[in-house]
Amino acid sequence: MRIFFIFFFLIIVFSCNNNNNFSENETQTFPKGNIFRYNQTGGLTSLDPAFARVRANIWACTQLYNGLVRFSGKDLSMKYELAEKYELSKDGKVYTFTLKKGVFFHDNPCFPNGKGREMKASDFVYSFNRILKDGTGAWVFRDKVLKAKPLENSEKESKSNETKSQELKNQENKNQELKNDPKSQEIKKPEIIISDTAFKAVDDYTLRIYLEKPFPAFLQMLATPYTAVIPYEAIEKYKKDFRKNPVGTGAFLMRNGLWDERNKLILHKNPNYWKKDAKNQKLPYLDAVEVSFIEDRTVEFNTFFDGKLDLIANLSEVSRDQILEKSTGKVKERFAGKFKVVKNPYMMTEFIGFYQDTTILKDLKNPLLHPKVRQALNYAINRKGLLQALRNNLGIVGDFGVLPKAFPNFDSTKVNGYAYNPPKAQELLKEAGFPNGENLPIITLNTYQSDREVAEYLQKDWEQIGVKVNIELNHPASHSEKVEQGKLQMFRFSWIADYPDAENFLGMFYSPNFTPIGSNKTHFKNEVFDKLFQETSQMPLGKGRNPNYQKLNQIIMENSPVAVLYYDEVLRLCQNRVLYLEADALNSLLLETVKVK
Amino acid sequence: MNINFFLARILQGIGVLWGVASVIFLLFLVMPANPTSVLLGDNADKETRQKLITEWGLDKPIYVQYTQYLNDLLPIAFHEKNNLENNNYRYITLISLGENAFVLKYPHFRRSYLTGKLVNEILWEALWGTLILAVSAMFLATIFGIQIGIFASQNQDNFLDKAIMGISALGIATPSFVSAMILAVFLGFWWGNVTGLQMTGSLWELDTLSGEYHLKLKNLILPALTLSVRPLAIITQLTRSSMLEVMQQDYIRTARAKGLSERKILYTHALRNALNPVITAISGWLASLMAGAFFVEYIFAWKGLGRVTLEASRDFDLPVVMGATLLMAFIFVCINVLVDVLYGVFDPRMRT
Repeated sequence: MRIFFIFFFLIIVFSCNNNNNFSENETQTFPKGNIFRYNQTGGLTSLDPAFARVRANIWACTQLYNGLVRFSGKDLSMKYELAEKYELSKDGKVYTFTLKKGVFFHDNPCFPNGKGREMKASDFVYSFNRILKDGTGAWVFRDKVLKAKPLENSEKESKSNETKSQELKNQENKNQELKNDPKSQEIKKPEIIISDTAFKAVDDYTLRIYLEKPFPAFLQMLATPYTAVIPYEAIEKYKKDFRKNPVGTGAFLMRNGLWDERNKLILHKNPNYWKKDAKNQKLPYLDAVEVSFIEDRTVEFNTFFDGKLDLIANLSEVSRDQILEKSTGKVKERFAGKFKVVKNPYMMTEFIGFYQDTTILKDLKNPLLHPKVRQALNYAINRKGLLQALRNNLGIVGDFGVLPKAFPNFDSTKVNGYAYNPPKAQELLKEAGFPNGENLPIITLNTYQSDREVAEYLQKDWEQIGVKVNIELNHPASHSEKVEQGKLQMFRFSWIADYPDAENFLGMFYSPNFTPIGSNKTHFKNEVFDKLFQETSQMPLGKGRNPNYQKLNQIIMENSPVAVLYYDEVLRLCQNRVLYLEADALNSLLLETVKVK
Repeated sequence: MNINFFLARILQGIGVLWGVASVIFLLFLVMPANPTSVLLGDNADKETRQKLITEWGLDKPIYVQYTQYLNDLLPIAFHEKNNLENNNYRYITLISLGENAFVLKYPHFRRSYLTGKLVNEILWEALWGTLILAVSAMFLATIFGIQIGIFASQNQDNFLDKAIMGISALGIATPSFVSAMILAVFLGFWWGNVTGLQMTGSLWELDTLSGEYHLKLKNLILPALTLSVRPLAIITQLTRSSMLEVMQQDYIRTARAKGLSERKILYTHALRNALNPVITAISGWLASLMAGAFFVEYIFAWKGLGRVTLEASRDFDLPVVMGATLLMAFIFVCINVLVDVLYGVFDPRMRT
């Protein structure tokens, strides 16, 4: 027994020792060195850009990798990254990129002597072919770039294809030469480079991409994190464990083993980063980025409040209540000046979907197939009240169609959506043959656990016009599964833009995009819409598309296969010591130009 | 010691594990979610989905899936060399047959659907966190529980005894996530400057600038304390009642008559006998503590099996959930076999 006590005493003494050390540091909560610290809830799953689907992965990959182009600034305009310039052929099908010279990969044991080699066009060919085969980003290229054709058929095809296959053979010969050339021993696997006809390295600094048909938004695809460049040596060495051994060209790099999964990820400054600021000073300014993985939102907020985190995003309701005034959504006075609160419109819309597919729905008398009932449900929602009651006014009232207000160069407010109007809702119900909700069966609203309060709010709103709604809460994974299979008649969902073009949102109502293959969850089908959508997607990008987008948006509103609830806003809390951290509508995090005091 | 008894218990244990593995396999077969959605989300195209289904072997007939699953779990099994290499599995070849081989290996729990990480790695990293946490909590609970229990039994029915019993009843009734939150906010946040404790943190912490791992024992204090609340309360009550019973035995009166000091009677004569039921309870609790650490690990962001399992089941990450469940089952079976065998050693009546 006594031995136990001595042992325990030792533990206490030992931990007290630790405490003392800690108290000395306590006067300075901020770490020494230029370290930026943010917390990541929801879990980082991989540092491989081919898996950069969720926010956590995108944020980390943004620091580690570069692509050809990227979105920049508030208006999300395109900016060159590793590309120096690009040309588009007259038929709109061939993109030719000239790459920057002198860009090196991170130093890593996968290279001879551990020194990162220069990035070449063939690396992009390798990386692009890889995401077609591996990871979650194949949709970026699939059905857009030229499809691989079997070689024996190519002779029978048209002349233009013949020249293409001729080019291909030249490339093959060239690769053969390269193979024999001892200087270019680093290209060990030429067969990967020519395995697909879509991407071609014309020379070390020229990259060509062939499309199946013109797709004006293609450049935006190349700004998604999936399309970052990686060296094939890393994949050969680490295989599937590339996920925790990332090698790229980005502003930060990860040294071996510095991702203690679920605890902490440390990214260090890349001393050989190619980018410089306006004063010709080398980027990045930070020495390191520290990512923690605290799941509990209250603990996360308290840690931030303690000064031990520089940035947190997506607050829980409790923390929101603590910081923001309930009804106005303004920052409470006692926090004014203590830290920065950044509110920014987000390219995300929250919906209720009404399933429309009569080939799957057996009951054709289903009231939700009646457009007037759907419109009535739309009019009955007090969206402003919802945001005030449940979200501290965070978010923008969803009165203007499916496109969120955050879209650059697009006036979404010109679309007429559904403002709160209960008498009108009752009138419509009456016209549909259900005065005051009589004869209406109980409708089930399917949603996920975290959304319970919103569902209950809607339930009350609808009850006021006499529509009885039952709420069913699903596990998030099985919820989306049921939605995809068309098992739910009324369901909650949201949509985040993958790239900042309205096409990405409106595609949700294009009939060839039916789930489970595409994004059309409601199986909405309208010939006028489909035709106009098809036309618009072939138009050059820019303001010229806007009138069509407005028309498309209006068609959806009139047919109301969905009820728009609200457009999201990003809320970020940031310590005062952080400078030059920009927020944009894609909720991206770019740390290469950030400074800390 | 009867070797047959020992073998029979081990065989039984293997049978239980096989049963658990089969039940998990069946449960996940009937699960309502499409596993590819876990990784792909809404944007997936058909080809990518199909590719994943083939990669994970979900397109094969159920009996093939089941055999492959068991084959992966067996320590000696038949594998394609290519597959082993591509997945970076560790193994020793026993008999090589061209493309295939009989290999000696750890059970393969495959790779996580969500992260692509080897499940073996995930579990191995998490297991230590949980073991250390559970053992420390048990250690705290035993030391203090027995002392407080003895103290209470000495003060039977007076104010102190009643207060202790009241508090310990509260301790038994409080769910672990409530006590976790209370301790985290009080000791870690409000009084953090006084106690020097943080709300979150793991045993090994990465230092950002140097990139080295440092041992932080103080991060163990809060979660271990939280986890020990309930066993502490139970051990206190068990010790108290057991002590009261023992102290009325004849041999204690004899000891008193011999003129031994009260202290010696308590600690050498009474306690030894009074501890029997307590020790049985502790051995049972250790296993369930490992399982009960779920919420504590979640709140204190402590890297352990509980947190891994909780997050994996939230995300429908089947290989991880399967692996974690089987590992838990394995630990339970091991402890049970060990306890049975030890009983057999100490008590010949049990060996039938």
